[in-house]
Amino acid sequence: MEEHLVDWSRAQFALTALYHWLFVPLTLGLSFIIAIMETIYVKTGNTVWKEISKFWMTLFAINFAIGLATGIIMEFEFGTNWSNYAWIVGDIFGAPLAIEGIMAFFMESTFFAIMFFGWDKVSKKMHLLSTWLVAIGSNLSALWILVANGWMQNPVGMVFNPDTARFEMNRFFDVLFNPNAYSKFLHTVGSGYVMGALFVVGISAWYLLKNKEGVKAKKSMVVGATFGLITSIFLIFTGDEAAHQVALNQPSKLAAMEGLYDGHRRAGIVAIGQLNPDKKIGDTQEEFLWSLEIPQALSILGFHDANAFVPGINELVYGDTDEHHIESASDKIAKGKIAIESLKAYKKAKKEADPLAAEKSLAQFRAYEKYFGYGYLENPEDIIPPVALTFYSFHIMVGLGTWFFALFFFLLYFAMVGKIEKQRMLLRLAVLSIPLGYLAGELGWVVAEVGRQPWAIFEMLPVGMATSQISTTAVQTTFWLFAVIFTGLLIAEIRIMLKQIQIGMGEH
Amino acid sequence: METINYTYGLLWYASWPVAIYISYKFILLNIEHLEENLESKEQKEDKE
Repeated sequence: MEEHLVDWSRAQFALTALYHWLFVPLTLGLSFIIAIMETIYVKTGNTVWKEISKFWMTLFAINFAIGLATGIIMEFEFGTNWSNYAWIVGDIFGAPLAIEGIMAFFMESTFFAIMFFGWDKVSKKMHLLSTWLVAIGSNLSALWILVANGWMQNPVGMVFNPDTARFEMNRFFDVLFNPNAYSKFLHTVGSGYVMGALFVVGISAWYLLKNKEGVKAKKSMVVGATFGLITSIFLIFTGDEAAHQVALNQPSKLAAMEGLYDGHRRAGIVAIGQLNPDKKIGDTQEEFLWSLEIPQALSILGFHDANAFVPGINELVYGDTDEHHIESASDKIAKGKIAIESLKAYKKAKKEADPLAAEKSLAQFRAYEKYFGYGYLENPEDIIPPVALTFYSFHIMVGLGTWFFALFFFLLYFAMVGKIEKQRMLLRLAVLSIPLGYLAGELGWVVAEVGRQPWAIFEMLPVGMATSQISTTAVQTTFWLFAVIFTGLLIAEIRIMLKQIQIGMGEH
Repeated sequence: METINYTYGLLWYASWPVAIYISYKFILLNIEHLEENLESKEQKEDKE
């Protein structure tokens, strides 16, 4: 496999996913915020709430349309750029993706039309129902995408068919209730809710700074800050569960997230620190140039036990069979190569109609099957994801999440005591926090996906084996084409939104 | 092969609508309080 082809294919998918994720979190969060605002309108009959709902709905519609465009491209890329991946796991990955398509295109789109165009055409209750169904539909479509992604992080509920060389789903509910699926779903939609809340409080703060839309901005601020505060707490719980699942199923990701080279019991979390850029796997240099650690926190977070052993990068690469029963990566690679050779021997025996040889090869393959993916790796160090990128992304994300919690708390407090318009600095910070929300979301994805490297499917399929056999030039050309188109779409979205925000809340 | 605990998964999935419902109830509560505040502020300004 051409090295540059893999890099460019990854770059193109990352570009599409990162742009797509600029639009999706707002859809997930704002849809519920609008549904709650409209519910208040229907309950109270106060038309101010109708105007507020319609204003946020206009911004939602702009974001929704552009988000859809980037999402469609991403789904096609599985076929164009990752056809080996699609072939090997299509049986499992295809099912949730197909359900997602039905949810997104049928449920969301149908009720979106009623929600956006049906204000005076259907009854109040029907309209409200449509708004809630758009919110539920968009979140359910996220569920199925994240079930598929959770399976990539922790493949369960399947068997490998040696005759077709494909993974096949044999337990659908294992895939659905996979701990990595529900923890990823809840944490990801939770981040979308916080993003939606940041968007609402940020724009409301801008109105208050400009002395515009006073009452409507205050009401929006209270809805946004309350929603943000509650969902931030939800995010802490789901983040804890997500980290616990990473500790159980993806120890290499956890070690990279924490820059942990030497594992130990009662491991602490680095609250803030700077990695030593010269540190290499296996050497004796210090991991950090400076750091502030919370003692025992990593053992508690990862394993819910202060005394638990957390394996570091060195144990995962070089093994620690005596004390902690951790196999070295080189042993796993050797066993993986036996699995690959056994599979080849099985296929040859089948072709030559030699059932005894086929049975023997298959038995050997089954014995080493769980190492199959490792057979395609060259160096033991390859099993570790990029440490610096994973570490800093994780820590900045957590830091930003903590800031958002504090921001929602103070905004809500000052809004409730009737002094929000006097808090000019806080309002400015709320406006500035809108892009920070997007940054936190993107960093979360970097942790999830870069932290999964070198695997497309964890411990089963390395990314190098997942790409299509196409020319690198084709991928490079489309990369730049998409980069220009996505940037154009983003600029268009920002300009249209800014125009609508300047028009105000009463003209929609 | 890892054994998947369906009940545990179901309970976690159930926390999703619960989070939305709790948010909704708190928003109603806070909005009610805000509207009372805005009303009393308005009345105070009218008197002045």
